[in-house]
Amino acid sequence: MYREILEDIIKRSKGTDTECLLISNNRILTRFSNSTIHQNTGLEDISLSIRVAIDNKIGKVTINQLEREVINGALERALEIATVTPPDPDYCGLPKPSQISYREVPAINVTPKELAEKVTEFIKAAKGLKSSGALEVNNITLVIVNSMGISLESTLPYASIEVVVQNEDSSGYAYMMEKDIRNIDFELLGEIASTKARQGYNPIEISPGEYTVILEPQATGTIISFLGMMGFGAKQYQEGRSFLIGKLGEKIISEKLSIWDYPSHPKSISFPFDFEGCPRKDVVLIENGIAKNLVYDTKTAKKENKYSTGNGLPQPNSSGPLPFNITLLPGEATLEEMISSTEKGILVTRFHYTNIVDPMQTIITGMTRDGTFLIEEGKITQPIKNMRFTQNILDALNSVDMVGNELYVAGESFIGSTLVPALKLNRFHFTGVTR
Amino acid sequence: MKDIAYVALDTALDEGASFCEVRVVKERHQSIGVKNELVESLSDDFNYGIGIRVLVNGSWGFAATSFLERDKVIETSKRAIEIAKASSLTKHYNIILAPSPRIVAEWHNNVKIDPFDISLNDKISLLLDATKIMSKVRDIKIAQGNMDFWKTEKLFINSEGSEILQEIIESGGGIEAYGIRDGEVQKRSYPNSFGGQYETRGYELIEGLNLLDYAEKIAEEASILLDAPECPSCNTDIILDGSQVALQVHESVGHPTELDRILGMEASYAGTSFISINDRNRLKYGSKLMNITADATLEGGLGSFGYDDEGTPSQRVSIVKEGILVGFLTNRETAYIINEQSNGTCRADGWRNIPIIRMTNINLEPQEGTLEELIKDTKDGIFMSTNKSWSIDDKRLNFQFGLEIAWEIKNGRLTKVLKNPNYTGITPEFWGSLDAVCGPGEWKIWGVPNCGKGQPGQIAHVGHGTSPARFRNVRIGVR
Repeated sequence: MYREILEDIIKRSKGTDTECLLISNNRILTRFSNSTIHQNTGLEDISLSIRVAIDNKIGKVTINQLEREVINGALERALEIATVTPPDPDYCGLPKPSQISYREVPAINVTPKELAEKVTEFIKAAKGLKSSGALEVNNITLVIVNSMGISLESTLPYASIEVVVQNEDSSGYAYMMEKDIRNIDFELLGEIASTKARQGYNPIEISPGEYTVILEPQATGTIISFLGMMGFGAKQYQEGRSFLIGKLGEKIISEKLSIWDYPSHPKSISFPFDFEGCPRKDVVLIENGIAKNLVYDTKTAKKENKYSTGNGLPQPNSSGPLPFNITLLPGEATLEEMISSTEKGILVTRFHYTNIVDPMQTIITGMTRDGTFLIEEGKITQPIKNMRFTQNILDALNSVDMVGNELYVAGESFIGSTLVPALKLNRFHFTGVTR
Repeated sequence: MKDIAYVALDTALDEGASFCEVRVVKERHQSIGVKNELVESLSDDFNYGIGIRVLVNGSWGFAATSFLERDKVIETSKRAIEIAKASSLTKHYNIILAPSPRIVAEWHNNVKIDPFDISLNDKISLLLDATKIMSKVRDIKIAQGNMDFWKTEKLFINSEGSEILQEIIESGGGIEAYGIRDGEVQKRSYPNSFGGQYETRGYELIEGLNLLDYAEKIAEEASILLDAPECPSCNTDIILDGSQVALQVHESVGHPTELDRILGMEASYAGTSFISINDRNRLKYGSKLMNITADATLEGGLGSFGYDDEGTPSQRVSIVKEGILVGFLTNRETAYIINEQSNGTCRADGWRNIPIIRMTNINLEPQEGTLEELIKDTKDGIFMSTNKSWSIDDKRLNFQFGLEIAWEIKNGRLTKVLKNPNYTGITPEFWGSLDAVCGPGEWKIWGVPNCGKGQPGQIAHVGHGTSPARFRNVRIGVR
């Protein structure tokens, strides 16, 4: 239905080029705290962006109503904006259709009552400790039609749950994302988070400094996501603000690590095409420690006489293309092997409020959260108070000792997901401690 | 607007809601970004929808839709009821709202020039002129500028008889210059980073920023930073400019005093707070110079409005008085728990989201003196300006902020420029080291247009009235 509306707009547009991008979402998000559902929301939403070019002058309008007169007004306004906007000499037109084959995943049909029952399962599994979290089910449809002949529609369903269980002076965390909600084991998540919260009771303070760390997948995900954001977009590179300037083709991290933008991985959350209608491609970003490739949208690809890798965000935008499905390929170690091989180190469940300190040096800072433990002589011995790290990511990833053998989704949105294993790093710099 | 709002309200009450509130929101957002003498992004977004929140069996349900046909609105209202019934499966207690007066009113903020009356051409030309000036300076490889304008009409009605129509116009803009040389990037922004300054004002805000007068200065500073020495690692006295004090207040006072965080309602996402309910009138938050107010009545503040999204009138309340915690940010649900009335801080990001506790304008009240006098009064120290990065733990205790630029202070004078300054601390100790706050002449309400909270994530526009302030013996240069 949506495609017909969009194709009609394309037919009626007086622009040289016209693109319509529609995103619709049907979502339920059940949020709980203090072991009771306190915020429970349903949303049915739509957004339609009409982008027109008059030669190389661009105008764009976004609306969320699909009545004909609203659409006509938006189209007229987009053309009016294009008329007054200065020309963009870098505008290279809209992409042409490519061969894309994909199979649709069934939508998740679930009632608010069924979600509340799943939350109840989780709360019971936490066995008396205070539970908080959010269980979210999305069915998102992306439709893109342009005047070059692209006409694509796909629906992406996924469910995710993020939970924190609080003990007196500690907390534990668990997270899971699945395309089929039946694959989420709520009881298991409750056990993982509550066990961590119990183990974390009465944490001791240790001095900041350099430590061996074992990062559980959520913590690895933060590090790898920031690395992806800071350098692998072609626009950042072309503007001279990527840490990869002068480093493509060189070894930048341990040869034990390979990082891909990996939309075709079965666990990845990904539409089969990007927000310009270009097919999402697997891109090797780092292979055995050597920086290999960047990701491109239509505009940045044209500048280097290349093809888009299908990493375009809604156009026009200031950030340029980004890796949507950053994935650190797994190694061979189990988490138990990482712990048992550590003489002295810190186990990190996840990081909190991480931010970039210096993008060119890949320095970030953040806090540990929801389960930080001291490892001594191959065993977890004591919970410790949360610590602040300030760390150059490339230095940390150059000190990799072991790579986990299982991939986990460590974060997701409809734009993409992060897929990573646990990691053991020989050097990680903690610069502070909290109470 | 009114027709569909009452259709939603009547349906909810017919279906068994003991309380219902409905917001119909129509928003326009125009956004312009230019880079290196080109328009990089320009969009005009219009959105319109309805959000319905109900109490059934003592539990909350909320549903929202952008489909505004009568049948769809009725369906959405019924969906809110179904969701509330599901919520009640886990409830331990009935939600009770603190009483709130019935209000029938209209409100709009004072605007001299409607930003949507100014032509796109004029807006774009101003930004392009600024980037031209910045691009001429040595080492400047990226010169960019942006403007954002919002016009929000919202109708609020509830089952207690309130009916409030508000129109709020907000404007914002700023410029940035990036010096890039030999793989190093240094940035300077005016009047603030992350998009500049934002206020509940019209285009007069943009005119008053005088972007062209500052373009060359910030570009030159970005270039100078490339050759500047690193900020040292040590403990010393620091003076923060007003915009950084604003962010310090935001992260280490605004968020931890939100009563929903204190009660654990944000535990799984943003975190909790180092403060407990029993800390009121007991906790020493900072030095005697620390006076924090939450004031949604300030004209022009980005956190100013007539009524919050529960229909509570905007207010000015004390949060910290002479260094002692005296208040929290509350809504009707949390105010009832502490046996008070809401102080009007409950707001939603558009029609799509439920209202939750959000900062209004959280201010460090001014003391006396000018920045010049404060620097003159400082023997050894560092003056830091314009935020570059921020991070704070989930209880809002351990923080670390990075800034764009710093100057060494020696014997009461600014000497050399220092690059990559940062500082770290623990909230009550840091505020305890506050020993000077500049006066009303230096005080300004800084707008923060990107405050994130909640699941699904909501963005709030908030403000912070602050002036430059000095903190003693702070750890700087964390590496």
